[in-house]
Amino acid sequence: MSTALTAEHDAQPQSTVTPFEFRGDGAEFFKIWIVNLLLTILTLGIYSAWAKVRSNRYFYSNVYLEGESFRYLAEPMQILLGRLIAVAFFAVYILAAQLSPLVGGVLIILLTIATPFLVIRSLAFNLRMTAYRNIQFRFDASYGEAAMALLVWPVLGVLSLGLLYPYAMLKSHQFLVRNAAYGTTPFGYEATTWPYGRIFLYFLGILVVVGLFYLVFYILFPPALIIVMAVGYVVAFGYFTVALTNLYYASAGLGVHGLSADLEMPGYLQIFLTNALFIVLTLGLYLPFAQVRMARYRAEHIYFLANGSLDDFVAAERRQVNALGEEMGEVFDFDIGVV
Amino acid sequence: MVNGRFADGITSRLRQATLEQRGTWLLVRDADGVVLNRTPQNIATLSTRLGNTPRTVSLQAGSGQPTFETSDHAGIETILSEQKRSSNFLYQLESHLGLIGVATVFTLAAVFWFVVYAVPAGAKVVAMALPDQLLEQAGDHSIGLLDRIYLDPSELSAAEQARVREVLAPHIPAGPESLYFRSWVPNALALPDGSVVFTDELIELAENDEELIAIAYHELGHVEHRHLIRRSLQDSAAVIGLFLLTGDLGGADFLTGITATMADLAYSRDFEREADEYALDSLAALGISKEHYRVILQRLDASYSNDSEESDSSPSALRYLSSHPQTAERIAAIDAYQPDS
Repeated sequence: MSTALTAEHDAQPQSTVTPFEFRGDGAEFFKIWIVNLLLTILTLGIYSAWAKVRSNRYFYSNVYLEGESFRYLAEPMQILLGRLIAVAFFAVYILAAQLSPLVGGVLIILLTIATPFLVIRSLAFNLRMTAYRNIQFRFDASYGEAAMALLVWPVLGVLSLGLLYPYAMLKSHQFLVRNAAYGTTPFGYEATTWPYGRIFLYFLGILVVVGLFYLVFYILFPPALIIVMAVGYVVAFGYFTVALTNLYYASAGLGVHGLSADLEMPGYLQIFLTNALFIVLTLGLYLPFAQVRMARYRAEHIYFLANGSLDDFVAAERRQVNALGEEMGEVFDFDIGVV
Repeated sequence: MVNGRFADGITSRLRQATLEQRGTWLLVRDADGVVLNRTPQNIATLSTRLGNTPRTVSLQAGSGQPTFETSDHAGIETILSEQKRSSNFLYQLESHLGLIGVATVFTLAAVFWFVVYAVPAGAKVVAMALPDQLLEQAGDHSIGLLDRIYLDPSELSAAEQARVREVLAPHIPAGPESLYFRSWVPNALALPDGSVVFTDELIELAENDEELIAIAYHELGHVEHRHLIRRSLQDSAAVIGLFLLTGDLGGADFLTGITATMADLAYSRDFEREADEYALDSLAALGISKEHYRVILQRLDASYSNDSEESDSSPSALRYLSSHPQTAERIAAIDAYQPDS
């Protein structure tokens, strides 16, 4: 399946373009999913940690690059511990807020201050639990950098009425990718603000067109308004997802190697809409098939631009990472999303 | 002997290799027969079977964590057989077609039971246990919110307001802020703190005071049964429950929204039925004919049906219909109602 094509990559004539490949199967995943649900219900939610590991393992292990699959390494007990901490914190918050709004407010402020730290731990956990060719991914960032990317820039984006939002998005992508590494090889992220701004402008343009359609139907045929809204929503957010995913992968690189993506609106929307339709018609039972279909579509439209052999990556020193922080990170469950 | 690939865990290089058992040791050899790794069999671990995904044997070494990966499930399970029974338990569940069928039916039934019975019952217990003080605070918020979004100040004369106040005074809880007059579509609203909002349009629609009293008791039924707080509890519980079950739908979260909205409509229908019963009981106790209630309900329904023929007011009709479904069904229930005594 991994047909290597000669890339039109300027500086590196010898680079080859290989699509990722997803070998999962809807019916096979349905069985795993339904047993996950059954055991989760029977154990009143305790099994959900095992369920998460099994379903993550299924999706990671079925993503192939150059014939080799990814691996998900987390153990259910780690996930369970994280969830218990999250539930405990939530219970404390509810109780405290009940007793005194002041204490509740203080807890919210403390949580906001801790958020960058927790997101770093969460990313570090999820990437360290991802391996390819028996080399683990890594993530490490400073608190200040995380606070800028996750809190300061988004807030400035809102305060500037969205003007700074494209830049805030660029900053958050840079934060996510530049602090990640495969073994000892760091990922890079090279992008300018303009492509982000263009995506936001087109997105706004679509919203304006949807608004015009809304007005026309409001005057001519009001019963169809709900359909206009639904179609408008799907097209606008479909465009946003497709364009942003393509930009994200085109900007990311790993050492001398690059990535790219060519998701397309018709194909993506077709899968999204038929998935939604079948999920509704089957009372949700189509969900695992839908997830597999979408994973396959995405994998086939994301490419690795290899410059030479993939044999030379080196594992990083094993470091003892603060376990509690990492498990707290499970509360957020951030992921960079390899594919 | 099993074919697969060996990775030393130090570099990303992979080597075609074989794994075999020699006494209590596992040996990994490359294509030329050179031994790449030697691990005591009782230390090596085999990943559990998951669909047709490759299996990983974790091996031992001085540094790094070497692995041997293979897709030969049968072969690797004969070598590392002592772990087979426990580790493949889940795979056996997942391969059992009868069990898959049972699990499917059971899961659908469990979700149905959770949404239709467990959530409303749980919300009722919680809502009834909430202190009154909390509900009063919620009331302040909701009249403020409603004023900002939907309601306009009443245009009724002070005299008319005073008259309606006097008519309703014996029936609604005492207090300066137990009855609000506002302008909107013909409707009455109950707030969590027990106060009731009447719109000018509803008061104009009513042809006698008994009809207003009947409507007041319907709204008080919502208050008595704490429907508002139960509804928000039920909606959030249903959404959280569905989200926990389905997890991240990858951009299809609006499906959870659709399901939750459908559940919400079903819930609000139950609440209307409960409030109707409360109103009918109260009217019977006062000796007021249930016909008054029936007539005002029908007139309300007709006013919305007429409205929706004019396209520009259809949003208000939609709003009403979404919270007051099945008027015909409710009228039938009123006709069938027999007071207990």
